[in-house]
Amino acid sequence: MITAPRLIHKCNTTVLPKTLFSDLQLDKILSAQTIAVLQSLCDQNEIVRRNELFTVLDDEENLLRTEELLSTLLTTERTLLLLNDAKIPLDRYYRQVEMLEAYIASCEDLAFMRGLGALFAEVADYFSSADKVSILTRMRESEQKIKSLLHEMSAGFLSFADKNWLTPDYNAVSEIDNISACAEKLGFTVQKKKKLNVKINPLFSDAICRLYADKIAQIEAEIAKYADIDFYEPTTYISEIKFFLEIHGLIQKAKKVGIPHTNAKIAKEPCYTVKELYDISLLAKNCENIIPNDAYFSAKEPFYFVLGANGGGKTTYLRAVGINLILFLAGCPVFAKQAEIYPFDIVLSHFPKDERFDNTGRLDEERRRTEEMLKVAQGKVAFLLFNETFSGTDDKRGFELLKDAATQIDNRHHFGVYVTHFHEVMSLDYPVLSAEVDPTDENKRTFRIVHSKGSASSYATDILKKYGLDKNSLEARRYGNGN
Amino acid sequence: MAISILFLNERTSKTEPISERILYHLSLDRSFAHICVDVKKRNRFLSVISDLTDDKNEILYRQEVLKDFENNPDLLDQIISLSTRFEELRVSQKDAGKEEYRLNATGTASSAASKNILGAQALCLKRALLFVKAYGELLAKFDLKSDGLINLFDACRELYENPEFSKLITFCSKYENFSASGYWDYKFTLNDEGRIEEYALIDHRYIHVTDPDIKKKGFSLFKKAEEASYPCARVNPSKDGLFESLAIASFSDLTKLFSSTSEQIFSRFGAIGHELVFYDVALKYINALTAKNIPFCYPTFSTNNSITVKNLYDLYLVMSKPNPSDVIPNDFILGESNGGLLVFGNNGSGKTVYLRSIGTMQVLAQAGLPIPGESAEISLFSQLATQFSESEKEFCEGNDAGRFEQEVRELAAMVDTLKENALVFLNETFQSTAYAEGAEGLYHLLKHFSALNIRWILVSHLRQIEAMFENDEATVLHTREGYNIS
Repeated sequence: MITAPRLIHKCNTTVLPKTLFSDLQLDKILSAQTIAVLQSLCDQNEIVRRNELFTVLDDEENLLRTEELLSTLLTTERTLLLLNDAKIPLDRYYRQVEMLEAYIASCEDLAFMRGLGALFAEVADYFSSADKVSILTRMRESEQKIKSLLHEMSAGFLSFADKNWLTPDYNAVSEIDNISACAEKLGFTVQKKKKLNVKINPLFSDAICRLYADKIAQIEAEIAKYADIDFYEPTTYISEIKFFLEIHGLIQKAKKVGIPHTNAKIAKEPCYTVKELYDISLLAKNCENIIPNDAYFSAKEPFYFVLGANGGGKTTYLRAVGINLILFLAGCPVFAKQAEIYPFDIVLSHFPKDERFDNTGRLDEERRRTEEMLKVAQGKVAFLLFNETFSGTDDKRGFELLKDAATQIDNRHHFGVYVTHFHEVMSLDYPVLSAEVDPTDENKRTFRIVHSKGSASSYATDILKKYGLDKNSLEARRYGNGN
Repeated sequence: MAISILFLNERTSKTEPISERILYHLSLDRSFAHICVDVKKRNRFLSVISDLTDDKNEILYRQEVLKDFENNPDLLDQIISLSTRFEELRVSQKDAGKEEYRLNATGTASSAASKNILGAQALCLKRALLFVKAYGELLAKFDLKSDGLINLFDACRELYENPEFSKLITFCSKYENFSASGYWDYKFTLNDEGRIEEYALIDHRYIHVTDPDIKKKGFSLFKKAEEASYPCARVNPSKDGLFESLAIASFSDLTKLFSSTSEQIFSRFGAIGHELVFYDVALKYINALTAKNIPFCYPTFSTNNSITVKNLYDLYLVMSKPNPSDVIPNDFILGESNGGLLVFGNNGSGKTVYLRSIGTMQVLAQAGLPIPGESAEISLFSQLATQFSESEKEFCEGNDAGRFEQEVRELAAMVDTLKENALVFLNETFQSTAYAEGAEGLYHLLKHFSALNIRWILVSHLRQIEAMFENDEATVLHTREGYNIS
């Protein structure tokens, strides 16, 4: 039996941990369903196919077609839910017609998706096969027939005289229509009656079904023809299309504030080379002036410590690196001007947890998590993200643990970033990045992550400059210069 | 469209309403306090005269209606009595509407309660229709000349002579006695989603049922003629309240139809009651003038912007003086080419009274009322404005500079809002500063008014100003002994 092809293929058994997404605050800008897709890593072919689809969606017409398809599929899903919930016979027949109508529309829309990249081409082929077309033709005839039968049963009279009777409609004019006509002839304005929208109850349905027993039998016979059809089939694309549209929406949101996106080139050797990399999680905070940074990780320098002032953008840098790596591994464009990235086997993170620990408890917990992380990464081309790990204890002990972890990472040739405020890392034999005031920013309010020049004292100066309390700023204030 | 005996359907020009301050300056509030003791009625009357019109047709329309009432005093009494009851009906209809809203909003509506409200609204509509008929029948008894009352009569007759009128009353009667225990039949329609979209009452004659139970039981030795068989199905009683709520909805639909039709009748004929208050007070005003032997006349309208009023009385003095014969009338003449009128005289010589009498005359005339004078040919103005020295009470004593500034500010605001074809009354303006400076300032202001085709009347001590005007620019009057002005 031929099964419907998927838009999203699972190519890898490795699943990224959920904590990675919350650490990087991706859960603030993306839905749980999209994060679930991002958790599964793609192989190179899948990255290329998804990249192609995202490029296709940049075209407004293609985007509109995809959104319309999603809307049709959601309608089908809704009609299926309503059909399942329909307990009253007459209600079920109406839901059945809606479902047939929605199913036909979904299949036709899916068949129409040819020309939207390789992923959709397979789907379109499947839904435009001769078998499918033949079923849909018969289904449309049935749908029309049932509709017509239901219409014949859709009006009648209820009499609550000595007994309660239901009779067919004998073209009675209601009292309200008679009075309205009379009032209108006298020159009064009669407002259009508001239509009701009330569900019928089982007894009412039962009476209608008994009054029109022969028509009901015909409806049942039409429905029985499609007992073997899997009406849920088109709806399985909903979550997949939503993934592509949600990421596309994120791209558009970023575009509005001037953040570029690009399909990263797939590197053959492990590296992470990105120019003007953005942390799009800041969009959740409605930041419009997001400062980009470059990121260069290579086999020669795969791992960096990041030092810098509070508020200097260390964590932002870490998130920018992590988020864009995850997006790349899921076949999505990255938020940067230019990028070449290797499809890493795994990405892991170690961020401080919110729980309250006493100093010893927290340290143990962080050490345990670090060990687990390194164990998972063992034997893989991994990218590790550390944020202030071991900062929650006394400096001496924390630094020793940091040193141990760094040695292991170095020995195993893992890639990664380690944000810390331990200035002592300057004394270790690892490259260090630091958050420094952007020399191109006249207001001296923004930081860029640059290769550290090795001057630990610059941190304090940066903070003072940021708040206009450094020597020059204070002198300028004193002499009324303003700056 | 609402029937009005006060306003024509469309006004031909836009006018500025007369402010309370102007009524105060002209003592119109005090004058009518002597005429009508009912504060509510008086205020309603004053609100009508404040709504200035310069539409000659509308003024004539009111004059004619007033003359009809003047000639048929019984008509006014009877129509007021009718409109009072009509207004009471409107209030009770509104209350029934509120009750329905309350039941629906609180979800406490039952079919019995809904039936009661439906009955009440049907009764209200029936009574409203019958009131229209009563208005018509009352007006038919009198020999009417005015377009306003003839229009009202025509509107009523047009409605009650329509064959649908009695049909609608029959429908109302049917639902007025809507029994809570009675049974009713309904028509239902399902929409494309299989939900009930229509549930409406139908007449029982549409119901055709061939009860299968009766068919089974009975047999006859004699073969009957073939009877028509009507398909039907028994509906078992449900406890979920569906039919109850649907019945409430259908009653509510009918209730809304009845109430909205009633509201249309009230909005069409409801203004009459309020408007009659104007004529009621107007008639009291005429009666008061008659009782005091003060001549009054309905003004005519000049075609060349000139104004000629003979023997004009000050209404306030007439109404407040115990002996109205002591009140001295004066003529008021403003030529076609005169921009304004300068009145000079000593304190207590009657300058302000003269100014007030002209202002009062203008307001009354433009409201369609007669004026206390022998004859009047007037011009119509689109705006009236006053600057009276009475307002000096508001200033701090001894602060002359502040007072002048306040006057200037007041006039500046006036200048901002005055439009062509306005009439301005100035009483002792700019006398709170050096006379020479005040006169010069005032002269430029008055010239400004004239240039904009704004006419003005100034009473003043500032004699210097007289020399500033050339011959035809302004009429100059002086007070004489015995309150004569010439």
